[in-house]
Amino acid sequence: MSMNESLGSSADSQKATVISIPALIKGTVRYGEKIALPELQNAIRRETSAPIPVKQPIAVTVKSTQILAGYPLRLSSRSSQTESCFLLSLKPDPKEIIESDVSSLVNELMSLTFDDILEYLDSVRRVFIECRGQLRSSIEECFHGAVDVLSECDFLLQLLPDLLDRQGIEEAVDRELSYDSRRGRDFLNGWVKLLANCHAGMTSHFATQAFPNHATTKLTASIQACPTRQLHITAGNSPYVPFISWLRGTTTRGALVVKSSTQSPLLTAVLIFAIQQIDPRHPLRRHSSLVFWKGGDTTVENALFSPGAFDRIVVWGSEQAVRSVQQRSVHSKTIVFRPRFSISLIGREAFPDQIAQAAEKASIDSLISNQKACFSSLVHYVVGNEKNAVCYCETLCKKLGDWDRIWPQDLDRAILGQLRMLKRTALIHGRWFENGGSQSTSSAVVLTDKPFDISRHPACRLVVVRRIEHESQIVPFLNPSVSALGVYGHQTLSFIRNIAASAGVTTIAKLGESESIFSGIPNDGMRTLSELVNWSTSLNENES
Amino acid sequence: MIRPSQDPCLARLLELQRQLIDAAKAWASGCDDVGTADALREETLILLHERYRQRIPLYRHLAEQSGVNRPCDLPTLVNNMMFSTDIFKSYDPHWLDDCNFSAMTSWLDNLCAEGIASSLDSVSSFADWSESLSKLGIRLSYSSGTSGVMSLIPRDPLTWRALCRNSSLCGNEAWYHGIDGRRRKFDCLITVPPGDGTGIQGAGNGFATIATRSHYLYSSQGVITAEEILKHGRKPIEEKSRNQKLSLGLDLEKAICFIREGLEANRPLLIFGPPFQLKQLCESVRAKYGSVKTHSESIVVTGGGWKSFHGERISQEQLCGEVFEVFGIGCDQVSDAYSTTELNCTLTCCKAFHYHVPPLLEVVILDEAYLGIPRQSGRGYIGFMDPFAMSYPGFLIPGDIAELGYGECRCGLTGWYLVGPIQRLETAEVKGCGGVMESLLA
Repeated sequence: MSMNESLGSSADSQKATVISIPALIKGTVRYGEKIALPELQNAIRRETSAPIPVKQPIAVTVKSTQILAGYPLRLSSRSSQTESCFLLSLKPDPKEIIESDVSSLVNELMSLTFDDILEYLDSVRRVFIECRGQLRSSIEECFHGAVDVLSECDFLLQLLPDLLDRQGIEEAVDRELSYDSRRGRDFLNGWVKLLANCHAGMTSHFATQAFPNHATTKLTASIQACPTRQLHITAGNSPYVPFISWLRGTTTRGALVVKSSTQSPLLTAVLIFAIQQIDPRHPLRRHSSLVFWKGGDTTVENALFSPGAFDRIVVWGSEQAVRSVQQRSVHSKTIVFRPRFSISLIGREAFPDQIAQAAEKASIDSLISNQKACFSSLVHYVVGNEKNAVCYCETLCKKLGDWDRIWPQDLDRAILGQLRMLKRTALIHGRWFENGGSQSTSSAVVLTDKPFDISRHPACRLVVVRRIEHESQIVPFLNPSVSALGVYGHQTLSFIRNIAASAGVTTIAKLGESESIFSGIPNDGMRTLSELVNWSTSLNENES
Repeated sequence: MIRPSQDPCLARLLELQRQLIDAAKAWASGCDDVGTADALREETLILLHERYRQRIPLYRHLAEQSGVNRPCDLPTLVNNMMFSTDIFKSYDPHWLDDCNFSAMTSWLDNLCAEGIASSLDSVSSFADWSESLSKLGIRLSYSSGTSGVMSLIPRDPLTWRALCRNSSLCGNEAWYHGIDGRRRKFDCLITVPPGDGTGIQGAGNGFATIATRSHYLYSSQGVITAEEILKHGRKPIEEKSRNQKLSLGLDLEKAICFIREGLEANRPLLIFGPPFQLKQLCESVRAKYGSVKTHSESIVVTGGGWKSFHGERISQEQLCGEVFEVFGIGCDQVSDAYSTTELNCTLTCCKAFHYHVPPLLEVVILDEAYLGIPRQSGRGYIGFMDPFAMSYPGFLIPGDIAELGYGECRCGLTGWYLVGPIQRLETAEVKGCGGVMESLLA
């Protein structure tokens, strides 16, 4: 996006493109009210009397329509320029999306078996495969043929069926909901009897003295993973988070509301168009809402966060966003996914002979999702002397250069600006190793002896290297904000694994393997599906 | 300190600066020679690069890391050696909390052209530190900024002199000197709280020294010191403004008295302060007095922007309307001035809402990648290259956005100007899977 566009000149243009995107309200596809361009522009001017947010689209509300203004789309294949568009969607009425009829959870969702869930998810998967052309046409029509949207849509239509792979879902459920050596799926199929010895309570024992006819009963304990009413508030730069939220909610038979982030209107639209092909009477469809509203809009959030509206609120976001939700939703259990990042530890085993090998592996961990995922390593701690650290930086820079050649990144100029400015602010004291030249840097390594504020990292193939004398010096930097720690060297890994785990790091991996994943892997230190269900216990007389 | 006689480069710099001042005087009176001033500035800036490279460790490090060695031209400086003004607040705030002035001295030494003696290690308070620096010839200027961390700018005597002198060459010059060319007698009402903690307070003090009489609106509420601002950021100043609506009673009465006495003595009034305080003053006067008559040649100068009072922001036209209704001072006599604590001159806004750039300053527009072409119009991030910043890196990006234009303005001035309003750049947020990344040291 050019600076002129981002400053709003396009929004004022008479040619500004207005795109209506769908919302799913309890299984029904709905659109926001159409609003004339002058009214949209007036709304933006009202919002932007304060300094204009240059970097991000602006969300405003007009009547019952939620507007995302300044959304950059490339509308013509003949131009490489993006156009700042208006995205319109229905602003949800809380009354319509909150599940107030608890009996419907029992009658419709709780009665579903795991096979029913799998069948539903498989039918969505088949839509992605069998109706690919139709979905693509719907997206093309919806987004006015935007070129970048269509190429991303093609990618999504290839990727999403894989995320709905039956075996993967079975394994995830079996692991995350596993209990008492039983498979997780069993707890979604009804009450599961446990082989546990039930001990009568103290009062029951006393009751035998008070009431001569009272006898303690031998009980059987059963457990079920019961459905909950779930509100998922997504954020962040990954467009897949709303999909993952929907999948987790559906897998756990939840009555589900997913708030999309500003980064994911396309994915949300693709998912809604796919669900639209499923039997509208299916309980999992009728209890699903996929919506967007401006974060902090109290006309929506006050009702959603009110006591009894939801059993679980899943929040993706910063400390501030999470605190804001927690303060207003004290009666719901809140599950939090904070922004996290990953780091690497290059043990002394790498020096002097294995520097190239270590740098290669480290570059793999750093380039996960082009440094935009929580698994991407942003900071490398090198155990060794200054000479070794410099040598490592030089080698790593060359490896990043190799990546640049085979996988060039189309660096946004604003991000390039952030990177260039870091050299003159937070990382001004560092020693820089760059690929591509200072005016068109494609990747860079900075060796610095000062702690670096991770919130300043532009996530664009920049690796900050910190030299440490001993492995233990990494300990102050290990905390729950670190998602993965990739380690080079067997001895170093043995030394640091327990320390890192107790400091709150979720994954400790051999260097170069931080992205490796399996179905049901803990996320942010949690077995998420287990958090989304209500673990209910039934205590009853021995049943045959 | 090295004297010009010992340093030919310094002697040439001072000569160039003298010529730039002459060019600024000519420009302010409408007889400018843009080409000559451009050439003078360019030579000055390239000489300054050499001076910085030799004397400022931080600048030298960046020059080495960026491969910028001598000889060097203006475009190279624009694209490689412009600093964010954040470098002046890049110290660890804990050092101040812990009275670690050894660390503060070392930090300041790294971005100052004058070596600062380690004898400063023994000081125990910010006031002592500031005082010790001033004995070494370094005067600190402060700015509270938006982040709550103060900027600290070290000025040597040459730079300090430029700061005190240059702003008077940047606008309203005709007014200060009147028709007969003699210094005008005027009264000055300053709406910013007294003190020397921030640039806007310093500017208020500057007006006070050249006025016949001056009066601070908040005189009863005490002085706000640099130390107070260091401790609490901009809060004390803004809190006073927020409280003023409720507690201005006595102060307002005194101010009205001051205005009326000036009128009786036939002296014009200059009202100076940030726009949010001017707006509040107008509202308070209107509520209690309706309107107050002032001398017909009175003027209003605002500066410093709306800060955290963005919600109360009104347009410049609306503000002028308020001033006219309350004080009878016409729109032509209300001007806004733009500057930052790091600059040694100001840009005064004319009635065409152009912030005129005097020949004392090079302004460049940078794109999102912080790349730009010197002396080219356009919209983007503003970059300033200050030929009078002798003791600290004066090639600066303050984080504001505006459009740079060139030509003859209907106000009579010719040359470069920024088209108002000048907007603050919002810092881009870095997002991970889970949302905006939080500040965390790694």
